[in-house]
Amino acid sequence: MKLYIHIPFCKSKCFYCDFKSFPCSEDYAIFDYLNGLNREIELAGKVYGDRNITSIYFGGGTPSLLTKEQFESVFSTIKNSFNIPENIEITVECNPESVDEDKLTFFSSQGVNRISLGVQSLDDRNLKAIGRVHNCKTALEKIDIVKKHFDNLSVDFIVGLPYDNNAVIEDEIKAVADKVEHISVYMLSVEKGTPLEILVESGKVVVADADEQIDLFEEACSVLESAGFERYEVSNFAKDGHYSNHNNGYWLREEYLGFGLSASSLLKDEILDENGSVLSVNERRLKNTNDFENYLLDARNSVDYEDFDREEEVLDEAEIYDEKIMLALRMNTGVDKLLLGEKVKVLEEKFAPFIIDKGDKIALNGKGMDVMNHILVEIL
Amino acid sequence: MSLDKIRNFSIIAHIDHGKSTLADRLIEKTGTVAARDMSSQLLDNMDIEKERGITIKLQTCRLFHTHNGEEYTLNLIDTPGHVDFTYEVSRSLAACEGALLVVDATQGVEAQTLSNVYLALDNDLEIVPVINKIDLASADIEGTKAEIEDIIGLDTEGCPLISAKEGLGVDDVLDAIIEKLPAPQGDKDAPLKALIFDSFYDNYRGAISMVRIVDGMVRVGDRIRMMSTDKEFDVVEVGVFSPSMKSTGKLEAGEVGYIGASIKNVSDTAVGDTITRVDHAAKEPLPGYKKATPMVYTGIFPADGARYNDLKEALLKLQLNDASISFEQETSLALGFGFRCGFLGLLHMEIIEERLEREFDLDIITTAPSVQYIVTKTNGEKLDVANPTNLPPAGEIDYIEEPIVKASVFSPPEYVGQIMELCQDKRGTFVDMTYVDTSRVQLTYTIPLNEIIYDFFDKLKSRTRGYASLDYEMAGYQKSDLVRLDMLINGDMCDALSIIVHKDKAYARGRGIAEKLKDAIPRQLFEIPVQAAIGGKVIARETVKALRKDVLAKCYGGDITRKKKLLEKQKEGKKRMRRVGSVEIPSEAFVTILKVGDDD
Repeated sequence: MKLYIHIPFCKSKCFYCDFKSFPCSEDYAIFDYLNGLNREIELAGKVYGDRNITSIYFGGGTPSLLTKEQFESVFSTIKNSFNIPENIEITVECNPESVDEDKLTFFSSQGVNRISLGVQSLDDRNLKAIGRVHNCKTALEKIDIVKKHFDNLSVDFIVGLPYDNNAVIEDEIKAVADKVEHISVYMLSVEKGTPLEILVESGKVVVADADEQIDLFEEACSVLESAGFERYEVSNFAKDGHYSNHNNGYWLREEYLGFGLSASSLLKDEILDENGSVLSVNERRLKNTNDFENYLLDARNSVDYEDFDREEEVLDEAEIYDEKIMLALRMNTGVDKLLLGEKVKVLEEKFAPFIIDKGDKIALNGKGMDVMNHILVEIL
Repeated sequence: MSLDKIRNFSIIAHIDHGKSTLADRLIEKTGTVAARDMSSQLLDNMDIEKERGITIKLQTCRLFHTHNGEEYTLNLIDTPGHVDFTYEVSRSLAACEGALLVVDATQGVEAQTLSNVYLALDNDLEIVPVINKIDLASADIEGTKAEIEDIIGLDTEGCPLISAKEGLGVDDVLDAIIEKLPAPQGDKDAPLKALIFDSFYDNYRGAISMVRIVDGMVRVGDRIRMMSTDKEFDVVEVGVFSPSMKSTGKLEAGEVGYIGASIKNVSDTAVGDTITRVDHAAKEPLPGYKKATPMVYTGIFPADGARYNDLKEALLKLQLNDASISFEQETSLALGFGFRCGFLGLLHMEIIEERLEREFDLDIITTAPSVQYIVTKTNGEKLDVANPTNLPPAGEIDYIEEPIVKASVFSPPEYVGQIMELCQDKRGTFVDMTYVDTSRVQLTYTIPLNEIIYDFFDKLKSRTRGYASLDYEMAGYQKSDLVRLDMLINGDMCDALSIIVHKDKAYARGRGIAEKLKDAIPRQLFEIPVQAAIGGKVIARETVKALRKDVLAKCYGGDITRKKKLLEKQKEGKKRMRRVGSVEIPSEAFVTILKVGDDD
């Protein structure tokens, strides 16, 4: 089982962000939130505490905003509620502006062994245009500092930003390629209700259209490939097998518990008969509320993990089957032909230019990954 | 009831001159409907009628009015005002002895004022002019009177001057109906002759015939015979509309009402047929009507192919209510099974499409409207072609004739130049121009119907800022240089997108449609050429670029449900796609072609 801990606070909200996060924010809000979070973790531990934990991920928002003390309170709750083996992957998402030597040393002492740094761009015009609070210089400095303490570092980039062109993309990837083990590249999406949407609508900011975006993305892919990065998932690239163990768990449908505001979980509860043998497995996806006050109330009033108000989706066999395919196809390892059954033929006949035959598996190639939804709609 | 206490009348007018409002006032004034139940445009039952402010179906209503101490029965038969519905007007007029001609004092005589007057005269009706909207500042009562006298030739001496909206002068109208319109003739002891002027389907009662009793009488329990088919039925209900159905047990010569006889098929109550009694049968039927001839044809297909039978049921039901709709099965490679439907005009078509969607909850796809062409093949064979797909190959065609109409346009003189330009552009031939008075010109052109149904009316309205009015009637066929314009999608012809068009306009239309299709066809994994072609020769080309990005990249802390929802939505959209060769086209794409103008 994997654990995800959501820290929904940011120093300021980026213009493109439609994720549930709060520009930071009064200390007491963080204090209340962490109390709630710890409560949820404790209650979950009573039910799932004996599960074998394989990775932990602190995401946000900006987890690196937390003080050492705040971070430690969450970490000790996790350690008290779950059995955490040594050397499992523990990642903390950090933003360049809120991470420093002191905090990094502390993370390391707590067992954190992977840092994911939200760089997004190394062009200061871009960073300004999307409301990031750091600049290129800070980002590069912070990468060097992180490297001193961690040998597993990932950075995020967004392509399709206002000042992006092939040269900008090439430069920024080359600037970090030798220093990091893992890079995530996302295409900018202008979401409804974000400040970026208003800026784009009003013409104040011009972003790449779909064709330009994919051109930039393909440029990024080819620069990454020559720098020795393997595109092992739709948006993720790793050097020397430094895959994100945690994220791979999502694609392989491992169990995970998400804690905090709007966090998601996949749980597989065994249904036992009177003799204690497994009758069946009940698989369900849960999603926590995205209302801050409700979350705090839930945490205060709940005496059981299940008391929290969550969206719940119980998965039947057909849904599980579809999920297995749609998620595994995101990875370059592909899907078993046995699992695909008759779909193998459809893939081979209709989508030949987009697939790779790997013997007992079929995977999507780069172009195929980029149009994955189109293919899924056809085969699911 | 004595015949001289009955008046059967219609109200005729150009569209928007206030016909339905006057009908409301008459119903209100005679106390037929209590004031609290009055809703605007009472006789317009359909939602579409109220929303669009127009009358589509004719309706009847029985009113009681006391005049000089005597009680009279007034049967009002409301009529549609739009040019498409001339056929319905002529049916209602045949059930009347007189008509009120409503003329808007701010507009004067318009194109359909005249055409309705001609219809009324054809039916030997007495016509009483009524000048409406006299309360408006721009009303020109004297000018309107002069137009009625000069153009129509009716005496306006003492004609009612009213404001139907404000309820002014309505009593004068009631007096005029009784004093100036003739009472019906007819012998209630003679064999029954009841003219069916409309019919509709009621879910509980079956097909109901709306009738004018010309001679004789009919009661509940009578056995009746439809004279055109000799089918017999037992009368279970007889009544009048006031304005809802009200059972009276019998109807006599001179009266207007309905007959219910547990008739299952609307086709057994054919409009224009004569009903007689089996025990006291008439020898000859009444003259009846000419069958309405459809002017505009279009293919109608269910968006969900599985609902073909629902569409068929719906069309049959609508046909019960509206005998002027015709339809026959059509098969399209792209759209599957559907129907080629004939309509009286574009508005009629739009209304039926809207009713199919609203009243029957159907999603439909319609193809571009067409007229009926007469094709003479080189071997001398003649074909009627209302579906472009059925046009023989160019090599087999000797010549094609297309229907033309005589169009008359009324307009203030300052727009004459614009109108002439438009008519010219629409391949019109000038016939005549007359100054009706200093403020009004009547222009007459013959124009191919195919141009009229396309966008003529919209263009006319926009070029004359809404001042011009249009009326048209069929004026035969003429030879024309017509071609079939096909659309090829990824090299495959899409039959549902073919149109027949004049050779000189083919290029512009082809280019316009290709451009619209390019935007309407979603990108697919390969590049899709969209071409317009005439007889295999490509005249325009656009390209739908290949799809390169369709993936939800970001995974927010394992929120898989969001990805699944997005996929579900995409799958739903895919269900509504039609296949042309290897290309998927959303149903909406077929509609976009209807919106391509010559200047696009």
